[in-house]
Amino acid sequence: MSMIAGHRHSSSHAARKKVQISFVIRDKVEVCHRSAVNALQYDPALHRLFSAGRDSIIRIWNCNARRDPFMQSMEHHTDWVNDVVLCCNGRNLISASSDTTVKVWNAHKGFCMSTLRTHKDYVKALAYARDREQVASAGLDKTIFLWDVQTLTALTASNNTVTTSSLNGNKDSIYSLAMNAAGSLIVSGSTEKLLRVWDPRTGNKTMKLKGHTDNVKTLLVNRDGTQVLSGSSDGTVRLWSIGQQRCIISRRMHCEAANENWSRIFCGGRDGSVWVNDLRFQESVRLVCKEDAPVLRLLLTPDTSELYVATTNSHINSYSLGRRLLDQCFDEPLRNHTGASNNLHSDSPGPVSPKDVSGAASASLDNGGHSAQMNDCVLGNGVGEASDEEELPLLSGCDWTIPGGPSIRHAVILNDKRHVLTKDTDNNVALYDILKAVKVEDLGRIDFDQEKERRNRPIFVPSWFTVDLKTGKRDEVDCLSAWVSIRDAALHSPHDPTSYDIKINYGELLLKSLFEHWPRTYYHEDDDEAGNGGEMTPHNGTSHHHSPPGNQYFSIPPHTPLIISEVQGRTLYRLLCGDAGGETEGVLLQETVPPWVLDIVLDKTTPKPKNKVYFYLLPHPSSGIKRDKKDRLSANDFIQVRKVQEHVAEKVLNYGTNSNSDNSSNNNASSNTPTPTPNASGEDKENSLLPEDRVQLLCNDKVLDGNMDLRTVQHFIWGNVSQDLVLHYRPLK
Amino acid sequence: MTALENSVKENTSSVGKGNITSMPGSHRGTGSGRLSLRGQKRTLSSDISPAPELRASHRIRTNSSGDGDSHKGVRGSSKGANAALSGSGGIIGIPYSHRAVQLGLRRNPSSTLSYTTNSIHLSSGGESVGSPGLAGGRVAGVCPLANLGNTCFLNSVLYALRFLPGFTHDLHHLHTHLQAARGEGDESVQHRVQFLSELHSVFAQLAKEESNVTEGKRLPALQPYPFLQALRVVNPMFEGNRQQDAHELLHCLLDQLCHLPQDLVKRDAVVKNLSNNASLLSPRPSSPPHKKARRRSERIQALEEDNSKAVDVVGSKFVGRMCLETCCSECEKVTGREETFLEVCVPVKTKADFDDDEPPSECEVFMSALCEEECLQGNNKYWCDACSHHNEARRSVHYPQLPHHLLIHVKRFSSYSRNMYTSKCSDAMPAPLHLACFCRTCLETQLHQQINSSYHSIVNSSTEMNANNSGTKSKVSSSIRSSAGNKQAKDATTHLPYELSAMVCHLGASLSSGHYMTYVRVSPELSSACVDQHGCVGGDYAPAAPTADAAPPANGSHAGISAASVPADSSECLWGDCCALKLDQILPQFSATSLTNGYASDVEAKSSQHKSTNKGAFTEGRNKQLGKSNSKAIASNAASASGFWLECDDEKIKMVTAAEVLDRMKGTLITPYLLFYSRISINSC
Repeated sequence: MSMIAGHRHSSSHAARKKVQISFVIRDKVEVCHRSAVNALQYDPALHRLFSAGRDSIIRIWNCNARRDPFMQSMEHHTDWVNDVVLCCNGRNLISASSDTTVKVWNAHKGFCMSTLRTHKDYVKALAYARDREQVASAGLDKTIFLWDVQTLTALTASNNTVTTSSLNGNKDSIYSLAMNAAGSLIVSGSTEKLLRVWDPRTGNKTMKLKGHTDNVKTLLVNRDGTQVLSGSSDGTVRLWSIGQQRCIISRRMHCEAANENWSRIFCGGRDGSVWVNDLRFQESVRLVCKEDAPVLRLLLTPDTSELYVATTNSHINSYSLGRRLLDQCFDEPLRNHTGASNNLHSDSPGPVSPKDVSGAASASLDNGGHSAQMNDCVLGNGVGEASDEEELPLLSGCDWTIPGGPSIRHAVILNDKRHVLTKDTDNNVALYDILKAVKVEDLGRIDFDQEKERRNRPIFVPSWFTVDLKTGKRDEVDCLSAWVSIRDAALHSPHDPTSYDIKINYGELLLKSLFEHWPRTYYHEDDDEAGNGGEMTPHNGTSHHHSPPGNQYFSIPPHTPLIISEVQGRTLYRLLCGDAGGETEGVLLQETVPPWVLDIVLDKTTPKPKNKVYFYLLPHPSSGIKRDKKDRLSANDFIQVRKVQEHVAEKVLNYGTNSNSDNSSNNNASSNTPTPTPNASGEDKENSLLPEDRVQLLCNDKVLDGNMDLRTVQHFIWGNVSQDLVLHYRPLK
Repeated sequence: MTALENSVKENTSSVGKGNITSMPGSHRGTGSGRLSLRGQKRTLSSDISPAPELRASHRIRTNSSGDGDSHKGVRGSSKGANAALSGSGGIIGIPYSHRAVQLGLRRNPSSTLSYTTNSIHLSSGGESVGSPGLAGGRVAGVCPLANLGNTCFLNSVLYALRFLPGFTHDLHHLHTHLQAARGEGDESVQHRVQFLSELHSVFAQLAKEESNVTEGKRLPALQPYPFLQALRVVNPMFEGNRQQDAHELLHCLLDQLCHLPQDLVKRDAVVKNLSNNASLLSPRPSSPPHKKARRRSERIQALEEDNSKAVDVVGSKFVGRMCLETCCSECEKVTGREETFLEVCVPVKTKADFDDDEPPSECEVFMSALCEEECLQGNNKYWCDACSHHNEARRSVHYPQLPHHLLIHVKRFSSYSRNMYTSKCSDAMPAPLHLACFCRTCLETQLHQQINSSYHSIVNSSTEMNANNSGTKSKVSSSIRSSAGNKQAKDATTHLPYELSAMVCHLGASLSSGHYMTYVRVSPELSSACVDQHGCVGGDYAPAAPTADAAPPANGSHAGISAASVPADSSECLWGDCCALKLDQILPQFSATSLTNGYASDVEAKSSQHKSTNKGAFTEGRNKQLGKSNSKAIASNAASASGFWLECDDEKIKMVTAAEVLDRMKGTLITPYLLFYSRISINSC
């Protein structure tokens, strides 16, 4: 399942930008989009559809195999993919993502060729000039970069520098971009509410076009670069003449528009309706279809026979538009279709409009309410009046649908800080095990909150990770703070009593297993002994430094994506866990893995327990014991009550005098708190009488269970974290 | 009320006297050095508010006070504590000596000499602010407020409120109401009642002084000491002699105005239940109060029935509602939260903040500051729940309802918390004298019209194509317009434009060293309330009612309370004789010269009503005299902008024209800090 990521980082490395490790829990193959689809591209030669999703994956669909269209998913982005452009006659795909990168893909084989990291913020839009094989990218960092596609595709690992020209001048975040095929004109739309026009050949600003009253979300330029069509969040679609530098047509609630060259425009909007508009005739607006979610992107195939609609839910719907159908819908049959098809198809379909169905007649203008908005292309249309006469869509249903999956909307970390309960858009509840990076169980449509209550055990474990439903920003947590008794973790083999009291660290275990395929973690090179060159030949490496990979308890699925990124910042590296054995991956890992991780996975350093519980140990009034001294003691927070009982029995009440007692009491509760030694309790078994049978501990007059650890006592029974815990003991007969 | 009050007064006065005795020597000592120090005065610190001239003011007070023993007590204490105040102020060496210097100057009884020294100050300090404007000189008819030592913050706010149309009138009724309810409640409520009552009495005394004006004599400055004292009781922040933030004071004041009546009402409800029993069980120490109390509680009961009408008049006129909305740029979902406000805080904006190629007008700059949009971007992106993603978002402010009195606080001071250092932004941001209503409905109507018109122009330009469609189009737009028109007619009173009526300006470089002065507009509206026979509905009072009415009870407390509220006991409105600002006395020439705007007659009518016989006679004579000298200049300027402006700088009050005010706002010397807008009254438009 995609969409869940655990993030961990150490707060101890403040010097450089902090680096965090995250991973995604998912199925081996994710065959459908889990979230909204932001962009579509169509390869007419192979009848393939490329869709870019907010689940960070670009998928390739075979449009000839409607039953099982999924071909491949292209995963490398780590955040929303906002736009894709197919270039070089379908050989390459360029994608823009909110992870601030632009990536170049081999579209036929579906692998990532290179990554461009010039943008400093989300990359929102791409534009493509077919004749010159030039691509422009723009985003929230207000800059536009121009790329030569041939150069981009020629990049290799060694030859990885690329020159680019940038177009500056935008004062606000850019949300839309368009270039004409000849590459003589580039237009950008931004929250500045105006269009800026450049000549990409010279980099000169040519003009500004003012008129919209809100963000410009979508743009189209006609072939010769004389007209621009823009769709804005203000609910209007405008047609601009570049020659006259002004708006020729503005359609508010009605569709409209046009001009000789572009005969038809499709537009869709936030209300989910898609409209078609014949630009030559005022009245020629028809509702094409109705989606149940805001339309994000429309794509018209070059032969104008099919219209693909992507919305904020994860489906992609395809509508077939017979020529006849369209002709009928307009008052006059159109004699010349060629113009229409040429224009719309070119880079992307068209557009869209808003409209608000809820529709008060004048509603489309308010920018205050939920008024109309144009997500994608062009055209507004007016349902305003449609309220009287409900217009029926030309197409009542879609032709076929590329199904999408539900996306997770809520996630709660359970008290054990290991399991996460999620609810998706279909209201299905599922349980995930973060430690093993797997989905444990699908619980179906049950009550989320009840289930949460039911599964929360009264145990306290410090936070060591955060869950992120594809967000981008994370809270900071010390991932190595979670020491858990292996018993609580239920990882021990039930038949091995010696493992009973071993303490494990969740963070350590997880890191080890995440990197278990990385050769460096099990073939140890020893830098101090320079003569030992065994690390390059894995098969010899067993000599004296070989340690078992991963951790001895479990391993996580190899298809789990592992992401190394700066905290609140850019992704440094992403790979699948199982690929860590590859040569280039190893090199890159070496560069990117932060030192605090290396400490664990390479040097096998066990993190030092840091969290202490301070407490007073006093005789319970009912015991009749008088003791003047009030001892303030400290212990690691994961120490179990049993250990304290031992301490009381042996040190305070002086019951036991055998040699073990020193050992165990040291472990427990003296002020110097050494790390626990696993064998202590094993030897305790030799005592005929267990300490918990001799001494009772109480907190707030509640008798404590020996298996409870101190932090749980502190949080659930004592209830006041800021105040020192007070424990009372009384001997049992 | 008397017993308690008296004891309190005695306490304060005795303390004050005690302090006095300890410090008298230093007074004279520093005072002797005044001449040598005088030159540096302006340069050292711009707040050179002269200290009160104790003896003189005392004389004036006793002379003029004939209005009741309660005031007398207060005054006695004020004198004592005042001296104590200057004594303790002596801790800070320099300010104290300044005050002493001032003292020396002021002690000179001859007004002409005072004048000259003053103008010397101004010119030597290089402050063009004070440079003679239209009339060049002082306005004799307005009683100034004396600086009690760094109290220009106080005076500036008092001036502004006094000249805010309708304010003193509303306060007067609140005051009468509070007096009726007086004596109930715990100490803190008592203090707060006292505080408002002192505020009222400041205005009452000013009016009284002004009514006693004699020809050719400048009115001595009033020392608002009791008010200052009451303020310090209510809010200890104002203790000490430091410079204070006028904005804080205004806030404190409005807070009292808005909440005290409500608190009283609430408490009354509780007290009423207990009062019968309580009064039986624990007889009050003295019988007269007991009787009074009963009478009072009867009155309160009567009042309670219409309490919600009357009590909140003053406060509710300042309360508006604003809505902070966040719009995710991806899904465009808008989340908003609405809250009430007493003032609008605006950042300082200049034309430099805008695109260079088409500089916006000053008014546009100001409006953009009022309705500022903030973009959440970069590292400060907005977490959109709908998208489950950090997206850019736009955060904007809307005003579903604007108050009758609109206070605008210009955020000139930004503090860097690290070193407690506040820096001041002195950029000029001229405030328009007239401001159209910018509530959400108005702006939307405006937008509709704009878009319609632009749409039509486009439609016309491509007529052939749109031939068919334009018919429906215009139908739509005309219907929009007509509906908007209806709305406008209905809300005519709610959406009246604003007029700048006062502004408090901060001079100087920082909050702790600087000076406040106030510009106030003098308009006939100031005294035009209560003209009608039937209660107080008149003048600018009327438009307020619909405002309050139109507010759906947002938080119940403010809205819907006052309506056409006539305070219960206001069948005879004594405001005019109590604390009203009487234009005819202040600016005789104002009514004498022919006012082109057409409200001259209004003023005349008014003044004839309010004039007592001897006053009237006097005024006429005075008019003739002053009219001769000033009428020309004034008349020529009167037409250019409605009303005159007064520049109130503690004791110095000067007349300026609106044009001059506008001019000065373009400079960076006077930096307007608090702007008081009031809706234009129905009468004058």
